Amino acid sequence: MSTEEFDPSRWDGRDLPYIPGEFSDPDGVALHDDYDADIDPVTYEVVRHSLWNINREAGETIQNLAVSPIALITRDFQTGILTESAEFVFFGQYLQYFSGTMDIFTKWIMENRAEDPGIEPGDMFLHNDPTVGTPHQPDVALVAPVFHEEKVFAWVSNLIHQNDVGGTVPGSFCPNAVDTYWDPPSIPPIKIVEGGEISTEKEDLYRRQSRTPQNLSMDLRAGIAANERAKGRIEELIEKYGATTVKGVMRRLNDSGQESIKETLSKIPDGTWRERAYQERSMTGDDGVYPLELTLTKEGDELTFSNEGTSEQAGAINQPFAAWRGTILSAANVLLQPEQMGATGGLVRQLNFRPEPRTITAPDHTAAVSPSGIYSNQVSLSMANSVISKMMLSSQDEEIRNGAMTPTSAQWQCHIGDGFTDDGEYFLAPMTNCMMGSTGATPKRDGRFANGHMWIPEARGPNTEEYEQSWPILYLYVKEHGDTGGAGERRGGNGGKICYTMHGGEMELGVYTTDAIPKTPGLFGGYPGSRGETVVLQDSDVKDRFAAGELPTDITEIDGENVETVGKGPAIELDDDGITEWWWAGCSGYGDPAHRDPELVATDVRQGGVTVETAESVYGVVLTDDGDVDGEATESRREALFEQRLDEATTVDDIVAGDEAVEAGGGD
Amino acid sequence: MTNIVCAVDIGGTFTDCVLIDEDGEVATAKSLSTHGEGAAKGFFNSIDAAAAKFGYQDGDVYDDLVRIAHGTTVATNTVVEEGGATTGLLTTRGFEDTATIMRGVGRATGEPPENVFKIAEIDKPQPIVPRELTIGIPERIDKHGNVVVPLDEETTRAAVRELADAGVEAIAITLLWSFYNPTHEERVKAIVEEEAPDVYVSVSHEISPSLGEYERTVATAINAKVGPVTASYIGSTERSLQEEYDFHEPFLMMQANGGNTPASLAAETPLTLIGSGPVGGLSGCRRLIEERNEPNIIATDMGGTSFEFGLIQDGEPLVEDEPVIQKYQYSMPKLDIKSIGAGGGSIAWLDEDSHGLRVGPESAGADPGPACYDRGGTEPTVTDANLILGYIDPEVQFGENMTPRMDLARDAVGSLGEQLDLTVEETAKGIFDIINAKMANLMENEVIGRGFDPRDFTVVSYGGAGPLHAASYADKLGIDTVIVPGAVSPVWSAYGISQSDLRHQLERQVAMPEPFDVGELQSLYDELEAEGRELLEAADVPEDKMRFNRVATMQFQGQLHDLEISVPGGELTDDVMEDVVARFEEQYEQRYSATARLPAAELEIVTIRSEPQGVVEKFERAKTPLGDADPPESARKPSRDVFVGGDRGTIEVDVYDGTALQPGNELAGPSVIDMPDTGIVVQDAQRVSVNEYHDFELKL
Amino acid sequence: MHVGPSLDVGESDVSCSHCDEHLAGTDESLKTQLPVREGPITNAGPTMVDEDRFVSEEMVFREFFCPGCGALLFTETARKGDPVLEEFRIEAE
Repeated sequence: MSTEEFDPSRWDGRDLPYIPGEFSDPDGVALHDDYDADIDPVTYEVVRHSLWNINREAGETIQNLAVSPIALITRDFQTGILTESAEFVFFGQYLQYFSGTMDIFTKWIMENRAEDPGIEPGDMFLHNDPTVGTPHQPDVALVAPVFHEEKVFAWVSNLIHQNDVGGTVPGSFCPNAVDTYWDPPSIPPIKIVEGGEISTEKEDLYRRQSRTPQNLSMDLRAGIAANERAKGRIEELIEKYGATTVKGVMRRLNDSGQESIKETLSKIPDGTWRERAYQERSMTGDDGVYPLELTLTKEGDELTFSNEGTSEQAGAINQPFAAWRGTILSAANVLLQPEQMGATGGLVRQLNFRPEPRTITAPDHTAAVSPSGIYSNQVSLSMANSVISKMMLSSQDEEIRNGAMTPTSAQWQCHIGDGFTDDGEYFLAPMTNCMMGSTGATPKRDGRFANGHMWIPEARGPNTEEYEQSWPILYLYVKEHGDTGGAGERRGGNGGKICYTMHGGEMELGVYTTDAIPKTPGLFGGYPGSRGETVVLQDSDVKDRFAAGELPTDITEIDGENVETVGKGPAIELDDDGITEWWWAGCSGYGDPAHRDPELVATDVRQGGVTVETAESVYGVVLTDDGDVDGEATESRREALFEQRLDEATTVDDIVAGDEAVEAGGGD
Repeated sequence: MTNIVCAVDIGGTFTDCVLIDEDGEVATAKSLSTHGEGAAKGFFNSIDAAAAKFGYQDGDVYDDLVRIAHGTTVATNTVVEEGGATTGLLTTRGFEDTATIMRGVGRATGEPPENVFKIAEIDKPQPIVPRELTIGIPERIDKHGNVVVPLDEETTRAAVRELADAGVEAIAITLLWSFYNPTHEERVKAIVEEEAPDVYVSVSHEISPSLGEYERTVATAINAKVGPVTASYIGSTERSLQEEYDFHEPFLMMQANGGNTPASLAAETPLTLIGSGPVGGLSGCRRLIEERNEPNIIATDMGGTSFEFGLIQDGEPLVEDEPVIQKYQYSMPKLDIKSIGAGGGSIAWLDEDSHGLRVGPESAGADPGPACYDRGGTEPTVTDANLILGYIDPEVQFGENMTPRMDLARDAVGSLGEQLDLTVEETAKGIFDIINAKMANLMENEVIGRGFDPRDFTVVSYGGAGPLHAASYADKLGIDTVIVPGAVSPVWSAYGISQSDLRHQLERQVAMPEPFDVGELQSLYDELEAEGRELLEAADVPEDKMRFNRVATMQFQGQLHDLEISVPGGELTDDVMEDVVARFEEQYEQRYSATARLPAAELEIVTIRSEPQGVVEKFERAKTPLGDADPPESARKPSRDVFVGGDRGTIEVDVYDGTALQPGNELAGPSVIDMPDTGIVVQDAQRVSVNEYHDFELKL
Repeated sequence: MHVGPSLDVGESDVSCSHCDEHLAGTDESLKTQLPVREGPITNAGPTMVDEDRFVSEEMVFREFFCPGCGALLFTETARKGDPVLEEFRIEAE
């Protein structure tokens, strides 16, 4: 399908999401595109390293100045340097899927804002419009041109996830949104800084939407300071080495990145790799099931991604196109070229995106997308992780194969509450303990519990004391959740579980995560990663237990009134004795669990990663009372397991209606 | 009979000793470090060797020593190389996984930027305490310090016995919120002392009383792991000093915070010694500031594998709050010394995709070392490049009887150059320039990133490879002066240790929003200062030598990053605090621009800190009056070919023997000064003079 | 060509790398040719749950085996009756 002409003209960021077409000199803005082709290796390296450093410095500025807790702890922000025509030069080690958005919205601004209101030195644009290109409305982008001799030489940009930008649910992930008009407002690019001055009227308009407006103003300044710093440093670099040299380094960096990815792709056979996952419950009250598909076609040195087979846009589980593109770029960047340190421009040149319009992963502007960070972005990350890893596992090059990882968790489990402390202060509590994360398995190594996430290389989780300090809650435990990593010859990293109770104050849980359908696919016989759950007990006896000197370590030890939760359910107000446990999920497994080295299983059991029951039933490993491998028993248990599998098996025709036996975009 | 200050600095290979008498005369010695059981042997050997240069024998020098200050990597090495004591961890039930979760960031922590995206390849470190030696005990305190669940003493007792039976040598205790209410931790400690009296105990509210159970657990566990070995080393050394040498003057240990502390205190909190290795050098620079009356210094140390640097701004070294060791992060103020893999052993390589030349972070280390060492290394390194360029004396002897082999260096660099279409010399110059750019970038990031202008700083360069490169990386930052310490340069770190005051940090988390409660702040500072006074009194610091600096760390509410603002001593008033706020705002704007500050943002004081100091007696380094500008004939060496690149290619330059140059001598570039362990490369248009302390001053 | 941990893809056929059993022709959709066990999604792991409380449609967990040795080659989650997903098709080199 990559050979088909794709016509981006309808994709203008108004009704359908923006997809740039062939990009040449846009009207109304002059681009500085002179460059030296011949730069000595030393100057090249010095300038390359400086550019990387500048981008990192911009990121550090945000870390130092921003106040949005999600942005700070989870590194849910990003900084980038782009060429005059909005090709990536460097992209930071923060949240990776923003990569799908920055180059797109910068191009949109050149095409749509150059003549009116104009693009001048000292300007900076703000936007959060998913149809122009953000992952969802809480991710607010700032982008500024870097001028040289009255021409745009480069762009510097950042996105920061904001605490709250409005919408029906505090925290601005709105699982009850029917359409975009329930979501937080989407602001297409506006000139928030003109000639170096912040526009107060535009800032006021922006702030007015938020439950925590002060946070927006603080983070706006953090973002501006980061762009200003990057801009100033690039100008210094130009002064020192000359504009054409710096531009030449940018070009060569991208050309070499492109050569590098071509070289990698030359070691992988052509083919098609596919994944399918099912979203559930498109919004509060719905009980539907929604298939999503992702097809990766490799032809020569190009990769084409299609979402053919994906359900029509529905409820609040949609994902802006730019985010879908970003999730794919994330997996490609981290899995296929980790040594490039975020130099993404060359990679982007080799990727094509062929979305079907008005689907969950390429919705039009009317679709609700605000909770995408929890649901759809994660499923797409997981699916992209899957198809790219499967492609890598088809290579005969050991290094490429060993770089493949099983998919990252397909949902971003979290709790977001809001309420009042004992002192009557309003608070918004996005609990992101899930950022402790879990990683997938590689052919040579198991996945790891609490190893962060592949899509935010430097993310971290909070300390219990930090959250207790901020919000009126008291944690009972934060721990590894055994058996949640998908089983396999190499198993996925486990997820974790957390339990907290109210401790003074009052809080309503507007967002919590629970799901049933396994969405994180296992690879080549590996089991899927686990799911999320939220257990709520109201009017529990936990305070009495404390008074009796007890500290329960599992919610099942506590009595209370069980409030059954489902995904995207209505808000729950925790009562004074309310207690809740929630899980973050593990990653999926690789290969047949019954082929796993029994000694590894024994270690898993010893360390609590796998239960004795699973060791026997899934891995076919029998342990002695001392926890050692019982060799003979294991061997016969595994033989029985293999036999039982074939005994219980049937044919595909028996489970699927005849001519529908296989779902394939290929077949050609 | 004269008074002498003694400092001993133990490094991996050598133990350095410096003796300075009251006239400023200096005797130095290097002896081989000794490890394990006999670790103290090198300590005494080095003192004997230095004392011999002053004419002492048979240990009679100890009669004249007024103090011994000691820096040791024993604590650092115990963690890095041996893993430390078998340690158990007692923590609040339900939070046993805190140390293995590592907040999910264990993989990335402390990794060089080149590795951050390599998720499939880079792993978390080994658990700091094995999960099976971690036991949760029923108890709970909340954020107000209120007891939610009382401590279950019986379970605690059983847990201690279980750990003791498992053979632990140390126990770390970290309970939630213990820094607000330490009663449970104190009780658990008492139970450990009852049940397992031989076990070393480390308690979180004593070691690292700050918010964040992960970082506090790490600090406490590391303290426990290094505790037994360090305490035993310090104890036996101190006993030998007293019993064998009848030495009863202060015996001090150098801490990572840049100050000394009595050895007996260090044995209780050996964590404070971790990372103290590079601190001595920075302390030496602090002394240099006093001598030269220059407030701002970038102290740079380039060795075989890494480049380390620290900033001294306005006379005070900058401090980091969350150091990292072995990928574990903890809270403890430590002099902020940044490090990258850039040293003499850094390997140059070809990036095939961009056809670019890259240098580091991989290093050939000491083994096999640079190609020219002829120890089997074949990859081109920075040292090979320096040799080819003529910066290193080809006749120099590295260590014991090892002369570099030019042919091997040229082979290694040449084969890389062929792939780049560059000559051997051009490639070598490229390696030299790239490593300098990396170091300059790192410094630029830190200096400018903190809102400072590098041009306000002077670079001080020491360490084997440093002076060869210092002029280049300083020049890139627009800095006009580089100082290379002269006579004491080989033992610069020991010298710094000898010049360091006693220094502690006492902290309280306050999280106090505006408007500040001046009375509350006053009483908190008073409490901390009373605590500090006790520490100084215990170290026999006389009243007139005590100093109590006050610091407040402040930020706008919601931020995670704070700025340190000094708070005046004496009575706090609203006016005083207004001035503190004004200084915060000024620093903030200086660092991040005026636009970055939201006028309506609300300030808070995160922590208040008291820094009790005991000022020690220091002897000035002796000065020699400046003599002739012309170097003496004895300092001239045969000229040498040096590759400068550009149109001129290779030129012949003057070479001097640095040890024979005299105060007052001046010379111009291009030239090279050979020194015993290093050299100074003087580029075109640069000048070097030797000052009255025998230090070399380069003007760029 | 070796694909994943268990498959060998030749010019005309795909075989099991554990027992060499022929699995399918390269022109066939591999998974449709394999013995399959279909069960509730609770088979997918000990922390899985019956989907009944959540959604109105029945979901299944499918395991695809090597007919020769019983090795587990693929797993998939699907809506009951949905076609089998063709996970890859590659051009033998």
